[in-house]
Amino acid sequence: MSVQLRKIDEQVMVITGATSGIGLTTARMAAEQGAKLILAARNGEALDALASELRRKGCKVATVIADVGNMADVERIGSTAMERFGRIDTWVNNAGISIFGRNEDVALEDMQRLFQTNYWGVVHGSLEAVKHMKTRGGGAIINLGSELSDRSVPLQGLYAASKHAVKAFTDALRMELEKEGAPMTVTLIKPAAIDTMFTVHAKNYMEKEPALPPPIYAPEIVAKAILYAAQHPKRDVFVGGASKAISSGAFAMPRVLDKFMNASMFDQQQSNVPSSPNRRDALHKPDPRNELRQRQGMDDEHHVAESSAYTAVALRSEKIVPALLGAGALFAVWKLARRPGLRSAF
Amino acid sequence: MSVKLKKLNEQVMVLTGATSGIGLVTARAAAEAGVKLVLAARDADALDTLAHEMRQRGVDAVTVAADVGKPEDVERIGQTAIERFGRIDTWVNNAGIGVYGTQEQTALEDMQRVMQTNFWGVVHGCLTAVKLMKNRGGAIINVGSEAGERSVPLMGTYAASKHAVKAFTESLRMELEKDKAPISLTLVKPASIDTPFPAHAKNYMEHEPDLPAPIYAPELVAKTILHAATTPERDLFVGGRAKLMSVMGAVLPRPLDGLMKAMVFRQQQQMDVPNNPDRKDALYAPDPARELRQRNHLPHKTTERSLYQAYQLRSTPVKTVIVGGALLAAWSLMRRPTQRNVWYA
Repeated sequence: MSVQLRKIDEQVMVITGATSGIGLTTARMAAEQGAKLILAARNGEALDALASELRRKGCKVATVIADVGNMADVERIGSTAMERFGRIDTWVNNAGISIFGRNEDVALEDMQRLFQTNYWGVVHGSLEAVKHMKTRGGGAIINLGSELSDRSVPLQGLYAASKHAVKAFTDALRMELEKEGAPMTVTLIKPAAIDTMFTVHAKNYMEKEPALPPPIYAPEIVAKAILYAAQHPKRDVFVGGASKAISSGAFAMPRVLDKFMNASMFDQQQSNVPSSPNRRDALHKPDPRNELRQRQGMDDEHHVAESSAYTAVALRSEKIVPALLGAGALFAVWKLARRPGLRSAF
Repeated sequence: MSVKLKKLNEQVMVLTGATSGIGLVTARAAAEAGVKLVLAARDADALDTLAHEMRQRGVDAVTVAADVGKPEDVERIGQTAIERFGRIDTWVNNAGIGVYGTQEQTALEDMQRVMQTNFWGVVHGCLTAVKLMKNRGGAIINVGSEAGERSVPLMGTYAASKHAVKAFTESLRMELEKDKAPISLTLVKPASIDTPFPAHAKNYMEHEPDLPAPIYAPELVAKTILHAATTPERDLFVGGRAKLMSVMGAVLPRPLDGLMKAMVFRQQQQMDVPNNPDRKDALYAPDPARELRQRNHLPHKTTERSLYQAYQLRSTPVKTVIVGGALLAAWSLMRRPTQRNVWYA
């Protein structure tokens, strides 16, 4: 891809799901680096609080109360951005939610609501972004997939289905835009387990409170990957080596991964804390008590990795991977050439 | 999986999308093998004609006019099966539809309708099937696609729906195995199949839709489905091309993007047949004029057999012998003195 993208401090950036977790971390990091922001989320009060925090730091911010599952709301995000800043350089489709429970137990209306946010939210956002960006200088669309875009898990079947669908939609859109030579990049970000409010916001059908399977990574690593993709054309980025490992395992030995997941995932996705009958979640509407938090915070048993060597390398792979391959090949030739037996064969 | 499945001639089988393409071929092949059938589709007239044909051949068949996108319709399929036959041994979620066009061109409601049939239809079918089959056991077979492994341009929503089917199937399978439920859940992933699929699909392109070659016969899919109805299988590709797409999608995604951009935009259109402005499709309602056809008869050669599939449907010992034999042959070739020199040269 030879698309030219601006530096963050010259960008107008739309972020959905901006009041929590990865979206919130990305918004603060982008503000820090000088981006103009259009922040969208369902909770107006949380948006106001975030906007005033960022404005105090000198950031230009517009907010839009929007449910990404509703196309009219997403159109409002686009029109607000255009009215306020005159263009959009990067559109991050980040808003997402989950349900923990067996497929047999989950109510159909909950499944549908999840799909409305995670899948249709990305479809709405991507189509609205293309509409405004394609003929006005182009830019980057960044869709949040998951390690569960490449491999499903028990107890989060619909979440995995929605993230699989996001990957397929994103891949098709990318090929179509490239085919017509549109000045746009479309990136799929696939995070592993990230310490955000994900499990707190998720609806729960299990006996215990939901938990993330380790290794768990910091949301800042995802935010960095998003801001990298906003400036450098990237097809897809795994955040956390675990995400790449699951994807490779799913491809190379699916049956083994079934057994492994059945042995581990039922326990790992549940904490020791019983689920409260009065538990609140953010599936159908936001939960004001749990807004504006980047992290849930993990206990002593769950270490949070603050960096990912895999992702650091993957983001610079244009230079590093060919360099490593080249060095490896030269080394191999040198070793081979030194072996007396083979020398004659050459 | 140690699930025990009955012989075909002892089975009661539910089939959705039974009046066209893969569903129709599977229904006829199952009838031939002595299966009692519960046939579901949207077009009641086509169902009646098919049931009549079946009964003339002495097949015990019942029909349900149903839209798999509606959970209440799918529950009615299950109820009818239980009322008529007292049990279900195999439930095949086959009904599916496509839309051809770029994501930008396609109306949102058309995308939603594809997802409703292809993804939610499978969810509704699986949940009803599990409810009715979990105690007694049996096979659930979901028809995915090679596009469930790797997305394609001009069919983004279809690919998304089949990706979602794969993830849902995988997750449900692990949950059933964890429960030790006596149910085998198989995902069948066909390559391009010569069915009325392109004719039923809605079209936003300039030309009539087409399928990328190689195109395989629907009988290959039916055979695979009936195999999975009697033998527990995790997932099965139909046509070596489906396997190839899956491997390339995982190993070489970027080169595959390039390949698809160079080929698929043309391959998915019959470049000599302009799109008819009065064209009918079967996205929202069945198209009676195009019911009860097994094939579309596209102007391409159809592959009637697939070596990869023949290999895949063998039992593990036979597969071991085949792979072992191939490795042995390669090894002995390498050991031949003349070959050895060639190797080094």
